[in-house]
Amino acid sequence: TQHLKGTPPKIEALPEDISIEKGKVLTVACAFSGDPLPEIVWSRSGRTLPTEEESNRFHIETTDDLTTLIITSVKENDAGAYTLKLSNELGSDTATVNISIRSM
Amino acid sequence: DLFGGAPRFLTRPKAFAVCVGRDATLSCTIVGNPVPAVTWEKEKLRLTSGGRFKMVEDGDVYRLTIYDLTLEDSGQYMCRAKNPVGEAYAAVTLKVALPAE
Repeated sequence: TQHLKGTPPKIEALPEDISIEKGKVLTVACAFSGDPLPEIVWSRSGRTLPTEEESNRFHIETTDDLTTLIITSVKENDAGAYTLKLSNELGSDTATVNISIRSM
Repeated sequence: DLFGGAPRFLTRPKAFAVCVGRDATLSCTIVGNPVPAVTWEKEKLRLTSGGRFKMVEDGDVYRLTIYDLTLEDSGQYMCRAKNPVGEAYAAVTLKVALPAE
């Protein structure tokens, strides 16, 4: 049998519940590991972010061990569950962060 | 500039030293303009300096030290940075272990 070298992706720690005021910039950083470097997908309600119509407000920045979701000019209807999924040929890992909007 | 001065993590929170009875320091680098206010939470409870917890700022570097670790200190710690432009969140998982024989 052939053994694959490397390690499956692992999400180190993603906050569970966070909140932000309308109009502000929100960044959520999540540390991960995995070799080979996992494919990283942030999504909401099954739609990969940034969606085409919201590409000006949603941004994903990823380095070797950190992936960051950035939402600028936060809107009321940005509230909800956001899912981060990492995958490589050895496996996958998923975590969800709930974002709520505070009134000022 | 995407952030317009909003807080962001340049380095993520990392844990150093994780044995029962030792001290652990969670450390990260955060920038923002104006300089953000940084708070730490564990399981939704805000941590404050005093007792076994100490929070220190050294320029852009923010540290939470937990003295005399117990197994119950294990868990997820969330770091929150806030200024008038926005907020940044990151978490770190601390696993406290029994000392190796």
